[in-house]
Amino acid sequence: MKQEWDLKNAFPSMPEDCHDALMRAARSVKEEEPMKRFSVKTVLIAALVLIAGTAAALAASDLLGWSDFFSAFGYRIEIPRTARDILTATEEKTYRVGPLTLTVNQLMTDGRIAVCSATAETADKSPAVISSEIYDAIGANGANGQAAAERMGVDSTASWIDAAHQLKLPFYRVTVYMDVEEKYHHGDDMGDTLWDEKNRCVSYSLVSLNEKNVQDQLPVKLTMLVTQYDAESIEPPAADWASETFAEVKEIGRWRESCDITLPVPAPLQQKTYAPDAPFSFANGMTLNGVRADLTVAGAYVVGLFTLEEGKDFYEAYDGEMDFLDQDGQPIPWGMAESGIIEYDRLPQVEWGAMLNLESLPDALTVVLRSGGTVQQVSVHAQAR
Amino acid sequence: MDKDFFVGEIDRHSGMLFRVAYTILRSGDDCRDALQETALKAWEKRHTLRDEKLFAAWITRILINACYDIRRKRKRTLSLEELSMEPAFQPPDRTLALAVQSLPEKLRLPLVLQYSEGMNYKEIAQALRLPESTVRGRIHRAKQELRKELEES
Repeated sequence: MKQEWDLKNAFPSMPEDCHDALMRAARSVKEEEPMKRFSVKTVLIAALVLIAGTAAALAASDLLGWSDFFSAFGYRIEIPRTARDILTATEEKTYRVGPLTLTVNQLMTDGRIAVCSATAETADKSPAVISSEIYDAIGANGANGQAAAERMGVDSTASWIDAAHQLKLPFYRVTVYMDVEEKYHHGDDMGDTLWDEKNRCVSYSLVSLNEKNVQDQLPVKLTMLVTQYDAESIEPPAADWASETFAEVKEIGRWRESCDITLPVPAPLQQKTYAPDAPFSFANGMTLNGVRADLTVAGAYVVGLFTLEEGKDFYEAYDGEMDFLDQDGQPIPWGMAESGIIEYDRLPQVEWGAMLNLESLPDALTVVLRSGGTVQQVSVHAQAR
Repeated sequence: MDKDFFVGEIDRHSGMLFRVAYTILRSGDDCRDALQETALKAWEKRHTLRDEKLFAAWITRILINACYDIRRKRKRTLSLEELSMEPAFQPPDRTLALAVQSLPEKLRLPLVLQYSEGMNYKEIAQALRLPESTVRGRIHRAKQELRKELEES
């Protein structure tokens, strides 16, 4: 299936000497068990000198939220006003997790997703390097990472643990996630991180929900993990596929805090169904019969209702990209969930769409499908109820 | 895993391994070091590959770690300007190359694994040790950013 870009064209050919070196190394291995390479580890854990912090606590409004998350990546999402109001009205709560505090400042659900943001800093406001990652380059997080590196005075290609090592500061890894009961859960979760102007680490978590089982309240367990690693004795990352953690990282402390929260679920705001003038057959073998849109406080969940042509392979047909245009022909940005919607349990019926960033449902929209090197589109109009 | 299988798989995936290394390191010399280290490390850790069908994702993870390790020692990678001047850097599509390299690494890597190497979301999630949804979100965001870059270039 032809894709929008062939990124192989963005790379030089593999130089011959590079290929030769790789194959020489591969052929040099011996069938017998290789000799274990021991690495020399620093046995002593250097006492971590905590430099007294001078940073005053910031006002609550200075904490980054979800709007900052989307603007930090230049991603054209403006959170709907209804969601912004709920997010900014979240009552901040600060939890002590070992040597850190985590302030949960934005938390909401619309019955289909639940989102949370939490800011981590040292409890005594002393300097430290805090990240969700250990070996990622600080600059890997784009402009936000570059700015964090500049504030710390380290090269943006340094990893987080390197920065702690260079600055002789303690290093903490923070993980924040929301758990919901199995019946509420729909797929896996999303997480990401930003750093604010005080280099506090802001964790963003999103859980996708099975809206069919969510009523007017959603019980959520919020879990916050803090792990301290020894930046002085740390070894290069190990490629340990079997383990979830890097085996050679020296962990020197681990703390965990969980709390149960019940989130109110706002009622859906609006629902519309749309239809094309006649069922429209796309080149990928799917025929669009209609579109269903559900507006919630967080955005609109818009799905095309398709029938898969007989004999077509679903996965081949699905290997495309769908977008929606507004009545002016402009693309409607995806919503906070940042992911598509696909249901194919009842083949040949397929529901394919996305969460869109809308505050109200339009009277008409256009469905665009890029697939197999072709771009096709069809307009659909709201039906009288 | 026997040696013949290992050598064969390394050869089969060599192009992919080079592109992944280049995505992170942006330097031919560093890539060579990372690839050699990856081959040796992968053999040493071969018992951790539970299903040979997962070879590509498994070795990609090892390579990524090797790249981070080399970058950690080198302390710096080439800037975009330096990159475009590097004699070895002669991609067929220079505009696309610079647009891809201008993306933040956390967006660039999953995009390359999908669009250059044809990995699916699950394989990318395994290689990058990220939840599948995060991979989907990052690829979606990367595509938007790449389109924007290409429109502006």
